[in-house]
Amino acid sequence: MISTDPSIWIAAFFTVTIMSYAFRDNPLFKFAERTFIAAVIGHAVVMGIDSLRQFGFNKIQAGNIFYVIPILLGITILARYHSEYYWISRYGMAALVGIGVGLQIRTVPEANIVSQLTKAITLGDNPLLGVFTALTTFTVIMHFTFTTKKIHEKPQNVLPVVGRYLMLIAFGAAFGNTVMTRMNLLIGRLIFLLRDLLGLMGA
Amino acid sequence: MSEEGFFNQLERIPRELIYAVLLIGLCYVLVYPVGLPIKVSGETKELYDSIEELPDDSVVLVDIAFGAGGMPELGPAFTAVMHHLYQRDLRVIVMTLYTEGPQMYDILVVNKIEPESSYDKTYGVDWCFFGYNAGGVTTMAELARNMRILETDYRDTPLDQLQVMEGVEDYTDVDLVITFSTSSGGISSPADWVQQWATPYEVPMACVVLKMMIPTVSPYYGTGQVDALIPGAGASAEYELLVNRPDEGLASTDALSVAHLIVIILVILGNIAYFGKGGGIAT
Repeated sequence: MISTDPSIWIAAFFTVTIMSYAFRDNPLFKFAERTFIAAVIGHAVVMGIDSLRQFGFNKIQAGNIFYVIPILLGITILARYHSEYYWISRYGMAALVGIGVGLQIRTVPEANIVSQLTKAITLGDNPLLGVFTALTTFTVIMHFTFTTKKIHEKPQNVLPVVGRYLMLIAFGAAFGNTVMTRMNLLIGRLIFLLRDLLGLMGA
Repeated sequence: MSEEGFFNQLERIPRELIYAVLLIGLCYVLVYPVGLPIKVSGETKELYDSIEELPDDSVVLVDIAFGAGGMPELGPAFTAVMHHLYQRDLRVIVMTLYTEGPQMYDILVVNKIEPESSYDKTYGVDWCFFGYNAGGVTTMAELARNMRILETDYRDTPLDQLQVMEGVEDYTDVDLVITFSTSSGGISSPADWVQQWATPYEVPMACVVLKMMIPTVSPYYGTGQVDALIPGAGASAEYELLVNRPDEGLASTDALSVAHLIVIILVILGNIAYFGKGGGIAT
């Protein structure tokens, strides 16, 4: 049974107009695109202001005056749009970058380097997979080693060539996964149109 | 038509025709499902078991890191896993660092799962929702050390008044973190969780991600930093089977298979055209 809910019809209208871009650009698509962007920005601004209220103004009102500092630092970033006082924004950016780097430097070397390297040079539970991982790591590093040309000359160029093919296999897998994700997005909207709007699918 | 003309035409199939075939094929199997058999993969069973093996009253932290754009793929997986969490006697804490997270919570948990009527669960006793919190990875890292930096939930109820939060102070009180993420490197990505929770504090972690993110997250899974890793596409159908809650995941399985069949045929046709024209070898 076809839905009589106006919100379903509005959602269906925007779904179809956005999908119409697959055939070619058109005014309805542009309208839907701008509406979507406006809605997202409006929503983000409201959530941001609410966050400021919850974690900033409410705390200051409760007597925690130190919460003025991050708010002031945040305001300094807006100075970026002033031709003369743009340098003030560096204080806010410096705080952001400093906190970010401080957080990451504490854990990234262990999480992204030590653990991955350990796995790459040990056999683990599955020796065959361990050897394959080590081989892949080594040959791909060879492919991107440009310090000496000799690595890329025959007969030793077999290593970088193997590395290139192993990378192509990885890219193929990534492409297949990406196609599956995109198809899933399409199927999600088709289920909405066929089930929620037209009532052609079972519950 | 000359042989080269044929291969040229094969290489230039109008995209409108491809989209039309895709749409007709997908719509047909969605309305008239074929019912292809589904086998539960080891990875999906791993996530299921990691929840099943938790003792009663364990604390599970669920992170919603997707918005409307990721809902078609992660929505069914999120719903299925949440059903499983509510089927068990666990304490579920839901959080989000995404501005769209609260909408996803309302649509999928409040309106779709309906824990009160479906599982006789009580908000504040069996589960709670922190609401949206800004700060990204900074908030995530601070939560590991002190959950009480968030003083209230999304209904502005103080966390101290929520029974589900009793004794939950920091990462040591969390038994499992599950992140549902569309973010490869932005806010609340699986890498952030691994770096701020799983690696420094060894908190068990499960990731449910977009299928295309699997190659970027799997290195963490390979090293054991992530205990379970499943994609939303496909795995949601398997999870719905495991928790006996058939929904969108299962409905989309046949369509996914047809979509892949069409893409594979197109890849083969593209290769026939490419090699038929000499494979790009300079002559």
